[in-house]
Amino acid sequence: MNLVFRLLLRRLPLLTATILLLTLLANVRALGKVDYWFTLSQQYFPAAALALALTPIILTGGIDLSVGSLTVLSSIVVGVLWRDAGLSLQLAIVGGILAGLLGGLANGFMVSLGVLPLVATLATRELYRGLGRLLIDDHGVTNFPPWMSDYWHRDWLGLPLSLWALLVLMGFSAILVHRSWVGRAIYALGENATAARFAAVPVRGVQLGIYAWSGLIAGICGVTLLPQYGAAKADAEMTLELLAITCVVIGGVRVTGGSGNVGGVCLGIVTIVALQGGIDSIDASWRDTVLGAILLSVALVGEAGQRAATLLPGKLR
Amino acid sequence: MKKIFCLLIMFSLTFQTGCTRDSSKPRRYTIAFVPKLKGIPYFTACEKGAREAAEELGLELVYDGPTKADSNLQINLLKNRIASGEYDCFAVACTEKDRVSPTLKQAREKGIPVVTFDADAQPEARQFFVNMASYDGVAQGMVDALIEQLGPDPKGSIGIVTSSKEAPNQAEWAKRIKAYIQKWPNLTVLEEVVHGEDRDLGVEKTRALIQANKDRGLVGILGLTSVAVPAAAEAVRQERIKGKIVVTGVSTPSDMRDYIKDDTVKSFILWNPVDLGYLTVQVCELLRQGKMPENGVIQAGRLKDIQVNDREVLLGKPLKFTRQNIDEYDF
Repeated sequence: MNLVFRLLLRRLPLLTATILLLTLLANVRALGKVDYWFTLSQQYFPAAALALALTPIILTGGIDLSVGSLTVLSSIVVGVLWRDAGLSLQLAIVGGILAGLLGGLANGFMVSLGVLPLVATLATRELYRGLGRLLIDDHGVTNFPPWMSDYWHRDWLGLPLSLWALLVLMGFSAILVHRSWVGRAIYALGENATAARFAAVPVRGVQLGIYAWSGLIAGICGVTLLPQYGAAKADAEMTLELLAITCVVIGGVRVTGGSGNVGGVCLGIVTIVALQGGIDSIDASWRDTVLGAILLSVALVGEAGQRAATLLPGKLR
Repeated sequence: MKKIFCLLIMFSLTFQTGCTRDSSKPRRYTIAFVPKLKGIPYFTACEKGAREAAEELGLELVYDGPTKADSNLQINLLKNRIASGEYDCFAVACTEKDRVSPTLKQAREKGIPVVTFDADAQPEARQFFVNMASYDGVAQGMVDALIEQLGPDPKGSIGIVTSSKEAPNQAEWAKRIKAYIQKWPNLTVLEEVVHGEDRDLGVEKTRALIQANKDRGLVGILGLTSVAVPAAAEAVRQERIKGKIVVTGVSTPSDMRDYIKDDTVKSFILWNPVDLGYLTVQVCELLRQGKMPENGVIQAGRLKDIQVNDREVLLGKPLKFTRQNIDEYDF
């Protein structure tokens, strides 16, 4: 009984997320519509995909604050390559994704050299946003050919492209984190980086890899901004990375590293998207306050659960 | 595990008492009234009129818009509202014509009627546009307010303060002001002063304009935005030439109250945003009834006869604000 209870307490963050999700589903009529979820999956694709990409990084105890800026930079690179450099849109898209990968590699390189992830990516967050502004004027790039929007908005075997991509990404992340040696290295790194190094875990390689991966995903997310909004512009998505990190944290991943799983993050994503889509009916001036209050209570309950679990008598897990 | 799950469901059901909308009641015809951004007096005044009309007609009105004038935010809001299926009609002031139009077209494909107000979409993305005043109407209104104070045969030069030469409304007005002012052969128009909606810069640049031209016959300044007119008035106040140079243009009562009260500015013009919101909802209702002509005259509640030309509804002549009537308006 004690064991069950402790397990419950340990899982309290996920439990609160589930309760929150069920409450939203029970109360917001629009969330009962499949179409509404399809729309949300397009709108929140970047946040969801980046949350999955950030999960390995946060599990190592790191962070990548630059993903939002990098997403926007990639979308701008596509726009500029297509409009100003005269490339075909397909080639420009490849270019944009490569720009994301490069940005991620730069982050990974610095982190593997020992720069604190928070500091390194805080710097590149500004840098990538600034590069975006330099590449483009205030008007942005617009008037993309309609086939891109068609691909994005059409149903493929009953689901929009965004949802397929997310499902694939969820599966891949789960395998990477839970079924591969990379995953074991990630957890080892998050528990104790020094011990991991002595245990012959290729720490630098893993770091370089996971930051490059998040850059690559940011590049893909950048491309999806174009059909979603029909424009590439420098002042878009100012708080994207924070939304992605929120999904990860609500999903029960400890920001100190070493604890959490991809399943939890998936639940976190669905909860946050439902919350964002659900509070749409609340007056916009109140929305941020309500959102903050809800997240705060979830965080407090989660923390309380963790502490209570350690206080229970019995064998420590 | 099953027990836990049951517990969860029970738990979540207890939260349902704080339900936001009652689903058992039959739903009324609901209009999503979407401003460019919310929380500024101009659109709050539009909301006031829209609510008045909705109440009169027994419609549901949901007023909500982005908190920043960002087209992406408006697109998200609109897409969610299309997919939610809770809205029967959209009334939208577009943040950016070309970017928001594709989303409005999606709404129309789903059979949701779209009416734009204040700022238009591409014509094929909406059924009707409720225009606050024609470009000619506003331009002539500004010049008439100026001439009224200068006397019947004015001589001298006129300065224009504007946000940007490319901003669509301002560019059209400037063009028409220059054409219309030729009726008075002794008036000349100076090169526009551009300050980009920055009030402080506007004051600075207008002071420079005054210093350069006050001995060369500068008699009046026209401000083309709600920021430009108070900035020009502030410059006149700081240069201590109140009464020697006429300042007028397009602005809002709340921006101008101080300068009207101390006589720096005698009058300025603006359409009535309350009426704009009211008319927009009236158009939505006529559209629902299938009584909206592409050309002709409609009966729009208390506004009575309103002209429609080529799917464009015209609110009418702009209002003139003076010391006498400014306190009747709180936007």
